[in-house]
Amino acid sequence: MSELSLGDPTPEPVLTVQGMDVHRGEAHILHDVGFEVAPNRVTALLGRNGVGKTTTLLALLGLLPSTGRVDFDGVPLGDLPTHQRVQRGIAYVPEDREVFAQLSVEENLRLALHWPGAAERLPMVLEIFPELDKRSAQKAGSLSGGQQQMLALGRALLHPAKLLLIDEPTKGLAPIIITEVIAALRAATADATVLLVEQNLRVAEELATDAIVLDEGQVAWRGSMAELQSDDDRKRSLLGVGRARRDAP
Amino acid sequence: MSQMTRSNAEVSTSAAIPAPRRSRTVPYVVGALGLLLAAVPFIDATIPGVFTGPMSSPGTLQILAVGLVFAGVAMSYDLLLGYTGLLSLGHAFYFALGLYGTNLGMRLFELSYVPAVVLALVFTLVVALVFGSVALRVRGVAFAMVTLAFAEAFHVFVEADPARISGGEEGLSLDTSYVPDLFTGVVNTRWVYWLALGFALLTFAICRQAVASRAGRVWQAIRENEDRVELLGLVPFRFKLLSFGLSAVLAAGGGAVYLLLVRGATPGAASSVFTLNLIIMVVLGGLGRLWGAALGGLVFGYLQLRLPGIARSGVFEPLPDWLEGPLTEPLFILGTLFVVLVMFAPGGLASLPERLGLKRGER
Amino acid sequence: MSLQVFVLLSVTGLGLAGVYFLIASGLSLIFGLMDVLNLAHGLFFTVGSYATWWVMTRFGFIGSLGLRFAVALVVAAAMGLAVGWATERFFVRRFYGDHVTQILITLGLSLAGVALIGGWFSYDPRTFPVPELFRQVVVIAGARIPVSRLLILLVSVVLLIALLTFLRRTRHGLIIRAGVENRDMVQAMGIDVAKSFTLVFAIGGLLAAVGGVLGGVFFAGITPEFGLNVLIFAFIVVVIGGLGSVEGTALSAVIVGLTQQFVNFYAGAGVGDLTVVVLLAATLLLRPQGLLGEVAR
Repeated sequence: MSELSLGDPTPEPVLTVQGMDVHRGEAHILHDVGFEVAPNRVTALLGRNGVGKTTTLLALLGLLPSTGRVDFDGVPLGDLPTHQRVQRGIAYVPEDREVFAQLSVEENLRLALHWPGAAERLPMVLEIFPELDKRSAQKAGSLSGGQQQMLALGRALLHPAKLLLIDEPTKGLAPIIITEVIAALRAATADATVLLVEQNLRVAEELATDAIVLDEGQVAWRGSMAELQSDDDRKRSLLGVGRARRDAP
Repeated sequence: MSQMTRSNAEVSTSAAIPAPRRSRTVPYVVGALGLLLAAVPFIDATIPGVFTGPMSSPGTLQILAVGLVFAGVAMSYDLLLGYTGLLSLGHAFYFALGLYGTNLGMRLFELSYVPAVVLALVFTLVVALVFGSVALRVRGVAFAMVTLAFAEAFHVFVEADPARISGGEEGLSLDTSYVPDLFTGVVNTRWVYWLALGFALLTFAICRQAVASRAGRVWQAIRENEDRVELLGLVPFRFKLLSFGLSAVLAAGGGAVYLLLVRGATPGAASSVFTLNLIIMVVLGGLGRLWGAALGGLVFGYLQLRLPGIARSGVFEPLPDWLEGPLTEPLFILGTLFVVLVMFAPGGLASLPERLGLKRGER
Repeated sequence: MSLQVFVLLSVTGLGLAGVYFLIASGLSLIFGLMDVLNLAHGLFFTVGSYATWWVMTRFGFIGSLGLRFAVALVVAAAMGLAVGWATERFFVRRFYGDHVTQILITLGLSLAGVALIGGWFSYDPRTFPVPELFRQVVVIAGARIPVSRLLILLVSVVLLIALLTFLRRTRHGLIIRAGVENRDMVQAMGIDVAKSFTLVFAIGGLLAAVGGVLGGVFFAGITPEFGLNVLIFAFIVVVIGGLGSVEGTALSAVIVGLTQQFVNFYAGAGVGDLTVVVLLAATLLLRPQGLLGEVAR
């Protein structure tokens, strides 16, 4: 599998997944999933609803039990519990934001201040997301969807991570907010290594250079985003798009 | 999500995990055991150390009969906890309804024993359906707390006795003039014993039929994954209420037999401690296995009644005081045994043969 | 109703509320954070009661009863802390994710622990000497209020404020509040939430044991099973207040304590207890998440 070219002369991948299987109850959700995430670029994890994209991220974080081998930063993660995986340098922006609704914006950010250098990064984060500064005393649950997304992202950026897992950052947001989020993501992820789960192909096309497509719990295609973009048949068969989409550019 | 919409057939068969352990030999073993137990009143032999008197003595029969009633009530509780996955902390309520209901039916309406039992069972069913439909609006731990609260309300009610009918803390003794002569007096303990045995066997037969029926398979599917049962277009609430009602009526039957055994109704039977003891019995024997629950009930009844006697016999006397005191407490030994079993043998006593390699594991 | 009776019932009801709050707040936090229904919580209460009895009757070398009671309070709190810590560390921790086993283990611990105390100290009700001050009365609005009631109220309020300050002002408290909302996300931020589990059990044990001390004073006697009885009302307080909410628990404890006192007094013993159960049923039907609970679990 590894001889499949990802474009550039491949530098050492940050994340290597081999033979990952996940069961949820009796349901077999991921079958023998394997892929790599190259450093300093955004890799999109694509696929129809329910093919196991979020499951993949949860398994990487150890929030769901999985079998197979995951190497991160050259070291196998094995059976490490979630918090230790994260401490190795994986930051996570979950689907549906999952900010702590009862806590204030400031408290949500304070939870991430245990990272080395986080205090120095905070002004940078507040510069990217000025809303968070303005609303620091407000309860996170009372923020709008877009603001909650900024908070979830800001919180993750305080972590000096080697890999950023971002799950559907534009889900449920209005188109105008999506544009704003994309701009923020671009600013925040410049030069970072990102694995981005995205349902909205336009967002993935704007941000990602590499792509992995899942279908029915398996890796169906890997390659560069540009290659996928130019191949309408593939897009239609794997992602169910290609018909005119309302939000197509 | 896509995995959750599998075909209908799958739930009725494979979802009942662990696959229904319907061993064909169990009915024969239970039948043989039943015959053996039925013959106990004719056995004059003594088992030294295990029972103080001969097997046929009223004292021994009393202990065995209490164990049999507990076995039946434990099986009824296993329907809820082991088969439907409902952690009720209020099962004592229904046991006590059978106990008090039968007693009050005789005292207030001057019914004889059998009609009083029937009336108590019908009343229990109605109460269980009403309270069950409230409690089943919530799931999980909230359900446990609500059932606990309802049962405790009844406990407070019979203990405080604002209506002056239940005898308060003293309880309400049995008025033997309404009971058939067969079941009164120490010399007739064997008839009460046979009644208890009959109750245990009947409960076993009913529960076994119930869990093998279509409804029973749905119960087990609910235990595994309630949401999926709902996705299949079934209404889990109805099945849970059925399980709740049936187990309540069976527990009340146990209460009615217990009334004859202990010749009265006391508030202790309605206390949450009794429900907690039921949990111990069922888990001791093995959740979701009827014969396991029955075994747990028997063992519990025996230990609870015999341990104080064993302690008094002086076997613990050489021990220092700080150890002797607790060892004379049945609940200390049972509670400790329970914790050890839960931690190291989660399948209960029923799983020990497999664990010890005496039987091939079924997993 | 005369003003004196009203004031006396109110203060007594609030004292009862204080005892309920102390046992219920730990229960609520443990459940909110870990989804563990801790049936051993009544045992923590009983440990506090018997620690006090032990100090008050065996520490004769401390001449002043007031000083001895202060020592008893500290010993009880320390023992509650230790028992709570040990319960999590040695029993509950091994079974994360398996709620039924956790409930069963705490149930077994509770029964065995109560029987252990019963075996040591017997099941007979015990009383312990209290400082002379406790028996004095102060007159408020014509009502003669025993000082002990006011003291119970004072200690509970101080502990409520201390608990809220801890939760709001410290990093541990912040992590606990976040964990009550979303345990997985706390872990996904690189924080070892299991440390908070142990902490919450220890705090819960401490509060419940202090509740046991005050309960012994309030009810003028202790028995080994007493903790279990109080635990049942604590459950009701927790459900009405909303699982995981300390503020909700405090509010609910006040409602339950006052209701019980007033109805028991005017409608007869036992009726107040039944009314509280009706309150619970009504809460579940109308607002299943509890008064201040945000998320229905």
